Amino acid sequence: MERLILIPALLLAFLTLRGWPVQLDFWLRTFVALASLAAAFGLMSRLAPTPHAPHFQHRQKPSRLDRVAGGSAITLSLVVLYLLFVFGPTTATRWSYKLVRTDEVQLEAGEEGEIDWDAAEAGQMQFFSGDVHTEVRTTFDPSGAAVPTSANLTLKDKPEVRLEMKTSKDAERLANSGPVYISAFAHDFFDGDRWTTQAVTDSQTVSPNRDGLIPLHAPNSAPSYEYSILHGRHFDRLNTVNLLQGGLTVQLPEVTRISPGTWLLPILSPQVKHYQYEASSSPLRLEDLVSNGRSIAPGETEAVYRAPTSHPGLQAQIQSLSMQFDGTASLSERLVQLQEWLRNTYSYSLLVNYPDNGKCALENFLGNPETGKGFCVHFASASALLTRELGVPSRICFGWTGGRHYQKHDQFVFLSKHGHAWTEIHLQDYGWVVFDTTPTPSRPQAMTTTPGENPPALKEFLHNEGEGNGRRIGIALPSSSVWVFIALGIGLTILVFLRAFQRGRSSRGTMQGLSAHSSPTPGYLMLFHQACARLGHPMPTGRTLAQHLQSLQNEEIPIQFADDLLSYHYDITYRNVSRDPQTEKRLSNTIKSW
Amino acid sequence: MEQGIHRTITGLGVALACGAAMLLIVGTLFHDGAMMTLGFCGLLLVGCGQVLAPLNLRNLELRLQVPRRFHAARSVPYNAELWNGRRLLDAYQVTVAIRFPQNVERLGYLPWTPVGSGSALHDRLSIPVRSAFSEVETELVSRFPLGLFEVRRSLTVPAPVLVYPRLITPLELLSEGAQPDNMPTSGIAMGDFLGEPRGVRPYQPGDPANRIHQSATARSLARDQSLQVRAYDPPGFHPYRCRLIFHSQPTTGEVIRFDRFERGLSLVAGTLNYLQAGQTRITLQADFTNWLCRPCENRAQYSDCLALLAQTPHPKPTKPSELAEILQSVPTDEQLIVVSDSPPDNWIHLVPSTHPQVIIVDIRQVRFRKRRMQLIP
Repeated sequence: MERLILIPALLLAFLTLRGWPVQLDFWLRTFVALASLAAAFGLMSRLAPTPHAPHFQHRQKPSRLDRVAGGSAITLSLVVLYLLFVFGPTTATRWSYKLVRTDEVQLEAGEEGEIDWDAAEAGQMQFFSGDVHTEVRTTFDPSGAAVPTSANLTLKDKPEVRLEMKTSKDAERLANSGPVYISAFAHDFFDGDRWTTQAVTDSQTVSPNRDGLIPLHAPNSAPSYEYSILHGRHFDRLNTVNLLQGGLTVQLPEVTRISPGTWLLPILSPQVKHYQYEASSSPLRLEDLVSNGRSIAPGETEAVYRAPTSHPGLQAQIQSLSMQFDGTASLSERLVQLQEWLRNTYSYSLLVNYPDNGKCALENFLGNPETGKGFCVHFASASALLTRELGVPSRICFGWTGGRHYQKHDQFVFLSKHGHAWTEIHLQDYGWVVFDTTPTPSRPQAMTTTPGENPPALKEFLHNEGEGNGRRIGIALPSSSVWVFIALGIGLTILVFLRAFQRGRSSRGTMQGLSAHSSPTPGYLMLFHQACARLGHPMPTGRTLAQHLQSLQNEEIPIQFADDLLSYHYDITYRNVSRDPQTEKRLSNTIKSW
Repeated sequence: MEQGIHRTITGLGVALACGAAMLLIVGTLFHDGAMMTLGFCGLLLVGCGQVLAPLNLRNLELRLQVPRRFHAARSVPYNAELWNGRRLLDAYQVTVAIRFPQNVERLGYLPWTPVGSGSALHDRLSIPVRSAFSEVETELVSRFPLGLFEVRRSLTVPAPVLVYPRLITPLELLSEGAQPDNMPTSGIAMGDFLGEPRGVRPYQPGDPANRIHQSATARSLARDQSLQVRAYDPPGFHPYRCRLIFHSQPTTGEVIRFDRFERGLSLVAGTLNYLQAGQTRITLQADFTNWLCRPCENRAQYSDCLALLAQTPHPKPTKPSELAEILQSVPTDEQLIVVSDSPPDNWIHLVPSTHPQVIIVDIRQVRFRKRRMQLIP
């Protein structure tokens, strides 16, 4: 019966490792998982019946060092298990994706597209997204970006990105072209809860070409801009290449491509606290194409950008809603209808709190237009899924829009409150195009500053180490914890070995007499005793080795090693000669072969 | 694995391994890292158990201290010590099964023994039937850690022991007038009686207090001497010389029953013990000695005779003519006591009627002790 304790402990450990309860810190949850299992095993051992037999009494009671060493060994094991629990789920999920490639994912990846298993597994990491979002996250998280069921966005004025155009003409042209979108990263697959990145590939590092430029996308017909980007460095999260939408090239020593819309910046030395690099882009919005009367058609891209959501309820809802946009109208007209419908039907709200009715956030958002309030992430998610139903590849982009235009300095500065999410659709001949369905008055607006106003200083863009407003990437050990764990491990190991060493040197009891305290019987002598017993001449207690050898010789039993054995035994027993392992080994081998 | 160590997985170990493997597989299929981690930890636990379990029994040495000679069915103390000769890893939760001959098994449980030290067990032992052995089979059983594996290690421990036959004093010896007295005035008492008072002697440790002679003690203490106790001659009659003959099944062709043979030997041992206590000179003559005479006139010879009885193998039936010849050859001045593993009806006709002092011991007696004197209401 005591084994049944394991079942609730295992269940509790499983739930806590899966992230429940969300109110608890990650480390504490992991500790609870470990503690539940350790307590169950401890209790099971304690309750296990012991044989109904008289107990042996040990010669010596456990000393303090014994208890400390035993406790240290247990603690060391628990520390190892704790670290396994901390890092295990992430690594295990990664391996699971490498081992088992499900049909569903392969379908999404298309025939030629490779799958970013790391990103895919990361998308599975967070199962209980119960934390309340306070801002639109503009830093890349491999586990994806949740569409929150509850959020209370607060608008902060911290400068985050500075876009400095090469020429005043470009700056003026960009300011007059409409909303400016700074893209940080993009996700492509929605599972009903989170947007994750499944397109592409193993991460690949790209180096500059002969011109010192790293090409990002093929140029389109839209006007291009050259500019310089500056932003702070995140020390506890991944730093992505932030570009004006429609990025073409970037000047960096190298970048790491983790998806078509997401590029990682190179890792710098710890002293460097910001990134600044040159880039070029040709931003394009659907409104620009429509206003110019261009005809558009869906582009050819990887299958994942056309993949419906894996959430069955939501997918049915999306299919139902998308039917109103089927018809004979052109694609551009239908997209504009969709945009207008979303903007007019649903309300924008920074405060979101959907009921816990078993539906996902987007179902709640789309399901009831009267109460369906959401912010940019909800609008962008809905439009991305709806455009896929219309046959247009899409993805969701995270970054900034609006910004403050410093005309005198040809700079655009984007603050925290300018964080935004929008849809990008892939069109033939144009590539990725902004398709922002968030109601215009509600999304971050561009503002031209007064001529005398100076842009924020560099230090205002910087992020402090450990500062984070979002989820950490993977599992970042606090540096102090690392040292604590290392010190603990070393200390415990030293204690265990110290105890073993002390035991090895301590006076040992003896098997010769139950109450005596002298050296134990040497191995070669034990072997000799056993060999004599096998021969039918066991060596009685109280008979010396010389006497027994003599008695064997009297029985005419040949012992070739008698002299060696006797002299060595007498040397170490009576003449204070130290024991020689080599001699003992040789004697043992001889006795074994006797 | 060390030779002689056998490891089997327990039900809990199987359940844990299967459950862990299932968690790992299901977790892999569903890309559930938590499930996979738990499964991996479970398998890791099983793996560690698989490694640690045999290590827990390595370099453990068992020694036994058992009395060299004792009678069957008598409780005797013995000591067992388990020595942990390793340099690392204490021994935990070891059950020691010591299998003595005659299906006598003694268990001991060893919760903890540190390295370089030992644990001792002080227990008692009773072996029901005579036997002789030089070593004892023992087995160490451990389910450490967590009961996932059961590891067994068999050890053969040297322990030369002779278990004498159980002592059964024949009723025939205790009957009044059964034995002739070479010294008619030596005693007249029987049973629990103390015998004929001989006089007083100084007190010795072990003397019961009710034997203190009050008036002699008073006189002795007045002269600054010690307590005085009464001394008695042993009770009963005491022959001077006795011939004890044991034989097996002289007439009937039945298979010799093991239990009757053992009881016969016990009667022989009881007879030797009884007569030796009375300082009677005994000569043991039996078919298992090839009818050679074994004197039993002192404690050393008595001990040798018991050792002989302890190691006697199961005999072949004696020929009646052979027995008759042996019985005829017993001098008439020696008391003849005949013990057999078959009822006297089968062989009593072979006993010479001319012998003046014969005691026939019946194997069928069920009360071996002296009967208590009871008052008739």
